[in-house]
This record gives sequence, structure tokens and C-alpha cells, in this order.
Amino acid sequence: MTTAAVVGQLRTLIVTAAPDPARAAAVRGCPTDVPLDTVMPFSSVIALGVIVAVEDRFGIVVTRPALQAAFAGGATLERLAIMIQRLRGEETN
Amino acid sequence: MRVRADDLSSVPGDLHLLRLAERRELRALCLRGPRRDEWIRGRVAIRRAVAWWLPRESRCRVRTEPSGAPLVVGVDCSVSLSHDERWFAVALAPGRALRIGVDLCRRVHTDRLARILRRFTRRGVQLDPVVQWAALECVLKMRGLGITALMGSDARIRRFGRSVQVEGMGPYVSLYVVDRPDFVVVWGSEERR
Repeated sequence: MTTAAVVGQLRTLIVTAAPDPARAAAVRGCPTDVPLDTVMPFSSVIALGVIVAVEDRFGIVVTRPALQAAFAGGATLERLAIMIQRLRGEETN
Repeated sequence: MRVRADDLSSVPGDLHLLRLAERRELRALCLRGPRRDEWIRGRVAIRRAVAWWLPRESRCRVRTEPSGAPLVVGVDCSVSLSHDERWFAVALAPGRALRIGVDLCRRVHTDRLARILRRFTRRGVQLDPVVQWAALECVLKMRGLGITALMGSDARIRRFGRSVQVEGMGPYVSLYVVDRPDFVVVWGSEERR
């Protein structure tokens, strides 16, 4: 699965997992390198809710180092996609 | 220590109420839509809290620390801010001797939090998930820790009336809790070490 394909799935998953989907709608079209916290409320509750949904959807277990790397400097779609690909043992592009 | 929880719409979201340095910081953050509005109202809420509770102090501004926590510049006090959709809570303590924390969490997160607590903490759900989460977040804020500190945490949490006690995430701490129909607020303080 390419990074772009993972990003596409993430956009849908984040909006679906958000408590207020309308407030998360901007994620559907935001750049992949922009911190999610700048386009939608991405509090700890929402962030970890997304991680739980990501684990279910992609069949992975997100480790603490992986999460630290993805969240360092603000979680972006790109960083989350790369985290998912690495945890699935896939090449990142 | 004083705490106020209210509807975010009770605070003006006017950009012109921000100090120059705050406006510069907002521009650099590139926040969009509701996040930008929340940020402005949050800064105004903090400065209003300083003006109400420390009325003899001079003008202040709010700066963001690298951890994301707000820091009041110009008045000697500690603050903490939390918001969740239309609600916010601000806590203030005079001086810098205390580390303080406040967390407001809506009840709409109950099921989400139960899953998060079961997945990321060793002891899972120990009481009302919203109260448990707000207590954990409050401790993280007081100690400047990120959410990854929760992963595998062995925190033990008990509630006695309006008090929530947290053990196993560093030193023992007792926090205050208030339940409202839509949300829970937990706050506390401890001496800086």
C-alpha cells in the first residue's frame, strides 16, 4: 500500500473517529504535512481515539517509540501514514 | 488556586484583543477555522482570569511553552487551560511555586475513553472513564508530560466524593473533580521540585 493510499484511508478514518465530524471535515482536504492540530481539534482524547481506530483498521500495534516519532512536532497525515507503513513492515515512499 | 469552567462563547474571539506578541504567535501557528477561534478565545480567557483574580497586577500576555502549555508573561502566576469543543476551563495560582493542571473533558467521549484506557493503561477502566481520563490528563499537564507517558502506565485512581487520588504516575497526588451534565473538570496543584 502506498503512502498516498494510507493517507487517503486516514482522512476518512480520522473524520469518522472524531466526536464532532463536522469540525474534523477539513482533514479531508488538508495538506499531508500540516499538523492536524492546526486544522481540527486534535486533543489527546481524539489523537488516541484515532490510534485505537488505526490499530483496528490496519491490524497493527502502535508502540510508544512509534507514537513518539509520529507525534514529535505535531502529528501530520504523512507522519501517521509512515508510522503505519513501518509497523506493517512496508517500504515507505 | 482558582478555576473557572464556562462556555467558550462567553469569551470574545476578537483578534484585536490579543497582544502584539500573541498575534505574531498565532500567525506562526497557522491555525485554521475553529482551532484559530479557540486559540484566540483561550488567550483572552487566560488574561481575563489574571485580571479578575489578580486585579492589582500589571498587564500581561500569554506565551506558549514548547510543551504547548500557556505561560503568563508580565504577572507572577501559573496557569493551565483546557478546552473541549464549546467548553473551556482555566486555572490560575498566584506565584510560580506551584505546578498546576486543569482538564475539562466532555461526557460524549465516554465510550472512546473506555477503549483508550483499556488499550493504553495497564489497569484499564477503574472508575467513570471521563473522570479517570481528566485526572490522568491533569497529572500530565501538571508535570509537563506528553500522552505517550500514559502508554503502559500503572496509575491507580480512586475517587472519594469531590476528590480523585492518583498513584503510580510519579508522586501521589490528590485532585479535585466537579461533574456537570455535559462535562467533567479535574484540577490540582503540587509544589515544583
